[in-house]
Amino acid sequence: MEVDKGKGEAEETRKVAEADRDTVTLKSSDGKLFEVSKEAAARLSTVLAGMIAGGSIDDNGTDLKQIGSEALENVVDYCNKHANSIPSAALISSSISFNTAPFKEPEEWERKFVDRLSHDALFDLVEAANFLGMERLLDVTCHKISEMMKGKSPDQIREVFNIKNDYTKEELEEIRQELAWAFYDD
Amino acid sequence: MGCTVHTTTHALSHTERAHAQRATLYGPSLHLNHQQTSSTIFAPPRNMAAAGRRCLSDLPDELLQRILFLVPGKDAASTSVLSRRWRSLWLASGAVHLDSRRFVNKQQPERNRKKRARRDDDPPRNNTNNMLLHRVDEALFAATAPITRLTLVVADDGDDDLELHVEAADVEDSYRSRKGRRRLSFGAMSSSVLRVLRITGSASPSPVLPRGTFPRLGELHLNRCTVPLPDLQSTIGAAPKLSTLHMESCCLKQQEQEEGVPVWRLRRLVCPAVSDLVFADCKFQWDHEQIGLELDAPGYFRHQT
Repeated sequence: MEVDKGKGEAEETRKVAEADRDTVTLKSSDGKLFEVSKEAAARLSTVLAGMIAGGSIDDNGTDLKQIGSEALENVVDYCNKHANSIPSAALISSSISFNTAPFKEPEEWERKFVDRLSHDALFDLVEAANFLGMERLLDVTCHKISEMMKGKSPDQIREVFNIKNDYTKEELEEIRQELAWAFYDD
Repeated sequence: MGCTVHTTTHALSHTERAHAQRATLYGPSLHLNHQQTSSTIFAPPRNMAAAGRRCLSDLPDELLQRILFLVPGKDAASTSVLSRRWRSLWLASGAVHLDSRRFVNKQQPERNRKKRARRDDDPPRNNTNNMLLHRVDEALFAATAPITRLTLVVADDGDDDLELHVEAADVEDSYRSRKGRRRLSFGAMSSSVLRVLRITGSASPSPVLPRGTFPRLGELHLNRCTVPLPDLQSTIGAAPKLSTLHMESCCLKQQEQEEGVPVWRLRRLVCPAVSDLVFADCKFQWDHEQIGLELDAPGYFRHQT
């Protein structure tokens, strides 16, 4: 009886402590744990905000099986280091379509943040940001990829991004004629 | 404690619409399956971390469109030859960006000119800016999603007295419904969908600011434009949600002195909703002594001179 009571109290204390914690522990698909500021996570990610508000955050590491450790590390890095200069995710994504919020050019530090990433890491981060509902991070990562596509010929883009051409020669010619304006200076 | 996540209604409410939409569009690649009510709802269709070399095509259409939204018109259009999947992605990206500098001295190859029947409204080929407008016209016509971002860069190489106008009340609809498409012009633009407008002009001739109402216009970027202050004021007045006003290398002209109007009132710019304001390398062309511009922008937080 005594023991049970003690256990109950401990449980109680743990719960209080959990509510008071100002960080959230996230667990990547490969089992690594990352700490992120609760405030930043809630502000930058609609999904994490919902989970925090709904009490579905696990103190031992909230499982994000979708996200690998490298991408999650980048997400956490983005949140922890740079949370202060970013407008609220809830504000930006008050509507579901990205088209409804004006796109803002990435800040200098955001450019640097994505510039250092490999292609693989960048694509992983885009997906992670999408999965976690991080509108601003999505803008920044998508902007980076769009920069990589600008001014490149289709062949160059295929090579850079590893895209397989599955058109027949005839189909290609048809499209080129349809969109002559986009190609006539090639 | 298991590493499980129990979703709550609250957690879902933020994303369920978005994900539900995704589900209908990209069923098989849907990441989040809300039908699954077992303990680990974030069970992935595949493990991203374990995948080998990633490629752009791994991303769902939605994200590719989001990327294309930021790619200039010609580059975006040319992605349709990448592969079958890319064919119409750019058309649904919701953006048109065109730069007339890309059309300078570029003639259509002979083969295309022969195969494509010349239309009455085809622009004279020697007119770069007409060409630009024609491209915009074509891009808007072809678009399958409402255009929310229109970017035009006007070359300063010609003698064209160019006025940029968009006639459409709703860019997409009016272009679709009109039988004989007319040349794009900004004259009576009253775009209910436009959210970002960038105009990069030349000092002379300078593009004329669009007139009309812009209920959703959030950003106005002017670069190398000469703008009469009253015109700018009327554009800002017609855009109640304009939160970003960036003017670079612009020249603000004074309006004619009207009788009975105090001078200070003529040099005043009122931008009630603007919170992000940049005047960089801008000049003021006043008739009289050098007096600055009086800015009434209660919400702004950034100001450069």
